[in-house]
Amino acid sequence: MKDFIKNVYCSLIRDANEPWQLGFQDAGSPVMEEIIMLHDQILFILTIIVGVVLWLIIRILLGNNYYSYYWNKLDGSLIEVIWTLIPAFILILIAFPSLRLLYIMDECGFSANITIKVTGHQWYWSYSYEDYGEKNIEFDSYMIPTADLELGDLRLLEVDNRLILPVDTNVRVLITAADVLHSWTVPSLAVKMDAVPGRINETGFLIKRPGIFYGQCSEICGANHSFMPIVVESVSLSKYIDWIGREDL
Amino acid sequence: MSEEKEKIVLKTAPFDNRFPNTNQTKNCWQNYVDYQRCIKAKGEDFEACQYFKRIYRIMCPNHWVEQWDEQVENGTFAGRI
Ligand SMILES: [Cu+2]
Repeated sequence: MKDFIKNVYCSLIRDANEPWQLGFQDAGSPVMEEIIMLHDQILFILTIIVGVVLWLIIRILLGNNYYSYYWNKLDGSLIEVIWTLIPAFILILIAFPSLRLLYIMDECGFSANITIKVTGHQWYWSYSYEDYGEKNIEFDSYMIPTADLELGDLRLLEVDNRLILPVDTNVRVLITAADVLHSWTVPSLAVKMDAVPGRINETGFLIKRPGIFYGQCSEICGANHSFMPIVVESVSLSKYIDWIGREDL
Repeated sequence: MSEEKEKIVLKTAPFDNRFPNTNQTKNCWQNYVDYQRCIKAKGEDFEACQYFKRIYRIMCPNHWVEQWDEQVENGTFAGRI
């Protein structure tokens, strides 16, 4: 019973994917909230379109009714104008919120308070914090093999050293790779950025709640591509500062 | 709780208008080269040079800096200093 409770508790506090998941993971950042909202808006419009079109098709095909009149209709200027303008308007309704969101996401790292560097290796991630003068924190993050997992841990997702970040703080993430292409991804925080050798890619986010956010390398990078997960642990600002102070490397 | 706990300031490299894009490679490179030029002109102890050093340490991957430092020492660095 105690094991069961621990198992349930552990899966509740973790922001990870789950078997047969169809929707998004819970949002951990404002941008992810916006993305989910845009997705729902588009799906709402889509449902109406599919419903109306299916209804018309069925009514016309079923014959003997008012709509079968259209079987004999060869042209009609008014209907042409209507079914050109309405879809155009719907497309505008989708395009503008989408563009707005795209530009918001592009400016994520601009007003950052913290910069972290992420480097992809075959096959692990390494993180480093360089903001605090001579104090330089640098560590590797390897996956915990299935045999070493503890009760409640997630298989193929748990790592030995998590990336620790504070909540409600703008974080700039600089991503690069040391060998081949990788991709640093955390679905709950709406980040997916390619790690390219010889290039630094900038992205950023603001975590809005304490939590443990899981992701996986998302660019096929060799034999152990599936075994280099990403874990971000968000803590309060004071705990983060304590952690920086404690970390002696 | 140790008494001599140093104060940690949450401050990082500011947004640089010269590099507004996702690709920040040049940001790192420019600051590294600027630092090398600065200490060549003014000497390693010159206070203002430390600004560039701070920025490139924040922006550049550590293994790049190690390689470049080695190249600067051997005189094989690709940038013009
Ligand atoms: Cu990878």
